[in-house]
Amino acid sequence: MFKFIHTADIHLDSPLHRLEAYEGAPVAEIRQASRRAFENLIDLAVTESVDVVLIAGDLFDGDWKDYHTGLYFITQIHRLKAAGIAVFVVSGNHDAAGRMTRSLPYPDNVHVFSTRSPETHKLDALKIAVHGQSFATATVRDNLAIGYPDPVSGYFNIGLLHTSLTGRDGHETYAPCTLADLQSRGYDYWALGHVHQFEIAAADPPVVFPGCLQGRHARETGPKGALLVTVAEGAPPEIIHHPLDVIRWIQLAVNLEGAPTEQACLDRFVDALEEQTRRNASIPLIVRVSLAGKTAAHEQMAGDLEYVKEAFRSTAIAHFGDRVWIDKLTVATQPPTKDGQAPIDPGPLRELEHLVAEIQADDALRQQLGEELTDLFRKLPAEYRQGPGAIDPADPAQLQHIVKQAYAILTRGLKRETDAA
Amino acid sequence: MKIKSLQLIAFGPFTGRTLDFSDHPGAFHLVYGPNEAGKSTALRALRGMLFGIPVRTSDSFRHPHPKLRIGGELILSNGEKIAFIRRKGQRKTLRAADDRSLLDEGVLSSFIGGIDQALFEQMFAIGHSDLVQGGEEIIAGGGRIGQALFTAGAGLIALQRFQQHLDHTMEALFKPSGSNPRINRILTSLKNTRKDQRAALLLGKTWKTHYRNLQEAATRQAANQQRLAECKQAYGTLERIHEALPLIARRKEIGETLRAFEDVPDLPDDFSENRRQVENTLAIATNDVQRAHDSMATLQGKIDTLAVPVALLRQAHVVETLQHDLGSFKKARQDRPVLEARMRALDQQATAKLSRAGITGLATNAHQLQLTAAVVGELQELGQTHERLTTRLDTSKERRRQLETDITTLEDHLKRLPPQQSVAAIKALLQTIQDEGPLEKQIAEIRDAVHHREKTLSNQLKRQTLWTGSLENLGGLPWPSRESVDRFEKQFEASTRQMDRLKEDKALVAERLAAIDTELQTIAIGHDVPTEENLTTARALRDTGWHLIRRRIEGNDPAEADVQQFKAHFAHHHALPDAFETSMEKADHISDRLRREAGQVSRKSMLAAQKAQAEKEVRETAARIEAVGAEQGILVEQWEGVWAPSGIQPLTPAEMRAWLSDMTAIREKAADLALEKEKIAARTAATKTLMARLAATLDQGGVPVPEDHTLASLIGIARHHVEAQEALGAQMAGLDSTLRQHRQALQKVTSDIDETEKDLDRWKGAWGRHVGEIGLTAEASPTAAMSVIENIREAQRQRDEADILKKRIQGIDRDADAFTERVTQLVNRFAEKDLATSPEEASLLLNAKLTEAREAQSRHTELQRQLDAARNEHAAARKRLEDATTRMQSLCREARCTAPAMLPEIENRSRQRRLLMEENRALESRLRRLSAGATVDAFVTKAEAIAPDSLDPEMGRLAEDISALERERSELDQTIGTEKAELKRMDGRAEAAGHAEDAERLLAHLESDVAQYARTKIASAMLTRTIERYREKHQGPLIKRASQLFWRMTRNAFQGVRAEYDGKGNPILVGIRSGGDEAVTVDGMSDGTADQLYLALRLASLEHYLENSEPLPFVVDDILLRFDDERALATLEVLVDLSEKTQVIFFTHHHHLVELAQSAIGNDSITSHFLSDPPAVARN
Repeated sequence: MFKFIHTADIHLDSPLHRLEAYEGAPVAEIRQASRRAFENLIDLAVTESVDVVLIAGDLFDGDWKDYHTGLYFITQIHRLKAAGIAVFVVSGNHDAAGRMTRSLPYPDNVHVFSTRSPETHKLDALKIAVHGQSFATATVRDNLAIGYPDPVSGYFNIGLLHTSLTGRDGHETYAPCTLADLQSRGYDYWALGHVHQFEIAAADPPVVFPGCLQGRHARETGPKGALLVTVAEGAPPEIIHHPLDVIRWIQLAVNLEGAPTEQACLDRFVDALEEQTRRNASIPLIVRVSLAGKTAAHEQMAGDLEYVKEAFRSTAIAHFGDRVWIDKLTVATQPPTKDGQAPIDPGPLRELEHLVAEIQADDALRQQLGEELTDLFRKLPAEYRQGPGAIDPADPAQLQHIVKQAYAILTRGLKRETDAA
Repeated sequence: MKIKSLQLIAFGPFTGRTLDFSDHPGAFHLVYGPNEAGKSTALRALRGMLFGIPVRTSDSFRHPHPKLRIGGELILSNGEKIAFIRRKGQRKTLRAADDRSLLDEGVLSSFIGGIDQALFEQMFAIGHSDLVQGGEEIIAGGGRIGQALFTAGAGLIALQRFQQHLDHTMEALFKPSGSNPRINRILTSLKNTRKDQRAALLLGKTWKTHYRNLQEAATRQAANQQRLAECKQAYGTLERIHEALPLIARRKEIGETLRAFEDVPDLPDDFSENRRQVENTLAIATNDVQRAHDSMATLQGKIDTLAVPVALLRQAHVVETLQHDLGSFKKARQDRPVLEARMRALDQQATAKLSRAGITGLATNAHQLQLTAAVVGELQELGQTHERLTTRLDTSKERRRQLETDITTLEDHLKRLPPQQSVAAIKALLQTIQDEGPLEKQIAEIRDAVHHREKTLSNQLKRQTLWTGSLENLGGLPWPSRESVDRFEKQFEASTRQMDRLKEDKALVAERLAAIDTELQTIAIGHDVPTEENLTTARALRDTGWHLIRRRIEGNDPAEADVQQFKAHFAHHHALPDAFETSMEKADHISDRLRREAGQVSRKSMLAAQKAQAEKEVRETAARIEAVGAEQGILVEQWEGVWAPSGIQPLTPAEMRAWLSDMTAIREKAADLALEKEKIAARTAATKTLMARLAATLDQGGVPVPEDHTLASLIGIARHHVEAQEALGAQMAGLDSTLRQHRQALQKVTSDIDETEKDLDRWKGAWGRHVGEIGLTAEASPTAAMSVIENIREAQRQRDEADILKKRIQGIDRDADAFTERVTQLVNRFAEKDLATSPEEASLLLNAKLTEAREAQSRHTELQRQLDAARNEHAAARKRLEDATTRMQSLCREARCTAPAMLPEIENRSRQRRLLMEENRALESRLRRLSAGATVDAFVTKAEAIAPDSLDPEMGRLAEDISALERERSELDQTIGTEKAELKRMDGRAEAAGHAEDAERLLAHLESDVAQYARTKIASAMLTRTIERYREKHQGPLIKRASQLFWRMTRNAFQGVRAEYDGKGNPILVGIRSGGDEAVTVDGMSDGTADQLYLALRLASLEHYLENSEPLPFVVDDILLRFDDERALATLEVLVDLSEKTQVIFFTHHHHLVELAQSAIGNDSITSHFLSDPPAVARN
């Protein structure tokens, strides 16, 4: 019997993307999250006394040049060496782009597979044979799997490969191959990397993505970690996913349908969040909140997003302290429908309604309105435009959304009793 | 829509108050409520009615939350109505007018045009503060038309503030040329953070360069160390050889010298020393032998000349004893005269004493004077008896004198005391009073209690209202018994229950009847349900038709009149067959319907039957209710009859039972009270009697009684009198008893004196007899007799002592003789007789002879001992001489010589050889050290192989190499240190990663701020456009109408308003003063005028709205506060005109406004409502 850890997509020192800090947010919890998750991984390997650690690519981020990161990695790897654990690495697309993976002063318990051709590395004492090939460039479009060597007879054969199989949503297709390609090799375990979501693509033999080690942005939600695989004579390998992340991303959709007041909305939010904190016990959460549904509090919700964000954040602090980081908040609520009654004509407000309808129907009008923002956007750096949350004032569809928000501000502001106006 | 009525059923201070806005000619309603009378409450009620009562309300101070109710009736312009009640609550607050069933909010919502409260407030309500703010808004906006119209049109009053809010929000976020707004700041921070990140970045290349440098330096350092070691070794070898060369040369020289000393013995180091010691020893020993021999000869000569007296020495102990006894002999000879003198003195003293005692002639034989012990004892006892008797006699006489004096004193005292009285009668009376207890205190306590209870009861009696009268009259009243009250109660209850049941039945039947009616109506409305009669009629008609046709077919034409009559049933048919067909169809139709609607038909007939039954039940129930009512009347009469005798109008039996119970209690307590009063009277009488008796008794005893006495004071006097008399009795008895005791004692003392005098007489006889024995007469006193006896005894003791002394003197004389004899014998033997004249001298002489003999003996012994020592010394010296000779011979053998004289030379040569050998060893040792591990010979061989002249140049060259290598090593150490430090700083730190994290957070803020800026900016742009478009569309008609209204409201102070342009070309509103063309900008208008301008615009907008929409009531809350009476009246007129288009409800708490409106406009157009009663002035 022996045990190994299968991990991939560590992206050491890659920061948590576009995370908005605020007074009371648990800033300390997110510092160097990727390093602390990696330390959790090393701890797991040592405490479980595994024999081998497999890293299926993307150890570092492609555009990350700081050699300190590599040196940090090496110090951690030395802990594995001290525990007598062998490490096998194939480099993935990010590693190939950054080149750091192949230039580090590895200790002798580490084997980095060649980029030129697939190789086999045997551990005779354990009767394990690891086959692998590293990415030579950032974009490998060839099927690497079909070139992998024949299995070593009498050994437990592991294929170590950075691939997206036949393609996975949100991931570039590299080293494409089919499940059949892999199964035809006759190996006992395929340790894959590249896809950031834990997935057992096939069970016999296991073809597995461990997912990334630490979620880094709002699309990498849920528990992240590595796989602890136990191989015993005459039984299929036992695969257990160990969450090792230090902070977790959550998309929280709060249904406000029928909520009568702002307080009721906050209560529902707290309930939904309570559920999430229970489900992810003992780990801090980064929560992106989206509010939807027809509610009498729509005007307050949609008309003053800043206030709403503030209110939700302080509510979260009051209830969950530093367990929760409320990152961004999107409001897609609607006013409650009136049965069959056309709203009364209020003169000026009707005029506003007409104008908004016209603007929303006419791309040119919107673009003209969008020019109001030119001054600002001239000043914004390229980094801003590359972000997923960036606004493009030339995009009529995005303007439509902004106009809708602006209309909500006006509807609320032009009410006599509002405090804001 | 109009409000028909607003019912303040239970709200605020109101209960069941209705404001009726219907049935009045005009639609202008003036609601007046002074402060505190609820104007504001009524306004809130109006809103609450339409939109619900707020969760937090101040209007529940009288009616609790669940009881709050507001009713309303609304009517639409098409005549549709709704009546409802609003309660307070979270949901389902809308109820039907019966306050039971729920109404759907939607029903009400359709009456108020589906708008919510906020919009209603905005569009259809205006208050004073709205007006003021509206006026201010226009002034603040500089009269800009777009904003003024927009504000007035939407009832929005804070447009400016909102626009400013948007502007501020944007400015706080971003300014194209600013640095402080948030976005500008974030951009700067982002740039800095990225810069920091780049600075913290470590390139792989850098690390590797340092790493390689370190490796190279380490390699070079290893090579350097090796080379340095080699050079140092070579240099060391040469250095040793250089040092060894002179040693090698010397070593060779010594080797050659040593060859000459080969036959010299190797003597030990201490050989010479030993030899010298032995020579010394020999000389000394020879000398010693000679000296001992001389000494022995001298001593022997001295011994031979010395003589010792041996016989005397043998008698030495006898001589010493004599010497010792000589002391005792001398002492006795000194003591003897003293003893003799003492003996004589004693003898003389004894003789003197006897003669003093009158005994003479007997002095020589004192022993005959011996007194017997019996005579002395007798005389002593008689002496003591005499003393005791005389003492007793003196004491008794003194006692008798004392007693006689006391008795006289006591008798005097007794005679002076007053006589004693009897107090038995008074004591008996006091006991009687004590048995009665503290009467006066008891009476006072009972009286207080009675008074208090009487007052309480009277109050209780006064509190009930059914019967009036005093406590005393209470006893005799003829009230009914409790049982009869119970009986009446049961009867009343039974009757009421019966009545309730009947009323309930009646309601149930009525309800059923209503249900039946409703169903019947439904059935009737749905269809005219056919009946069997309808069918029978139709069939009869059909049969008539058929009969006519048959007759016609049979050729038997029916009468035309019959045909016409038949056809008349069917208006449109002119031919009989057609008519018949129709009749047939109709019959069939009815038949079909009957069959089809049989259920409904039977239901209808059943309902009819049920209705009849129900109506019958209604009637019966009504009759029974009447009957029971009559019975109740009779019962009431009987009930009142029972109470009539007491003059009481009774309440219900239950209440009367309670009353009766209370009154019975009062009555019982009153009876108790009377008993207590009687008790007081009795106690008072008893007290008086006792007092009279006590006073009489005291008087008899001669005790004075004061006039104003109470029982208590009398008792005090009596007790004092009794105590005084009893004390007097006790004193008399005490004196009597003492007197008696004294008299008895006197008698006893007198007899004692007689007795003692007789004893003395007897003593005198005895004394005379005994005293003669010692030579005294009977007259001699006992004291004198005792003195004579003492003198005789003393003389006897002195004679005895003198006898003892005489015997000691005789002993001394005997010892002196014996000593003299012994001395004489010894002198005769050992000394010349004539040398000793006395025993003392002889003794001393003997002693001196003995001392001389002892000295001679001691000298002899000493000489003998010295001779022995000299002999020993002689033997020892001879021995030493022999030993030294032997040792000298042994030394000569060791030095391989024959005579001791040769020894010094041999010793000298041996020493020289040894020195050479030592030097040689030292050289070899140094060479061994220099040879560094090789043998000395090998080293010497190696050294000899090197040419000595080449040594120095070779060593110089090696020293230079070593110095160069050491410099290189130092440089390498430094390089390695630097590189190691450099690499240590490359420790995998996360500084750059930290900056990257910071940058991400800044970008996140940027995204969120940009989004906020974008939507605010777009909102602001959209608002500006809307205002402009609204102005463009509505400016003409609205300004025109507002101008008219403004003219009216300012009472022609202004002709109106018109549009002009300000300096920046913005269209603005200006007012035009009457009688000219002077334009007044808004900032030149007074506050009131600005208010009126806003109101004009507001009303113009409202009218514009009303032109094509269902009107809603316009609710006005005291807007005329800043208007003068003229303009207030003008404004009221304008509002009256508006009420032709929509209902106007004007709330005010200014009564003069009501008066103003009523007097100037008249009650035809205005309906006034007063929330409190109208003030007195208003009634006129």
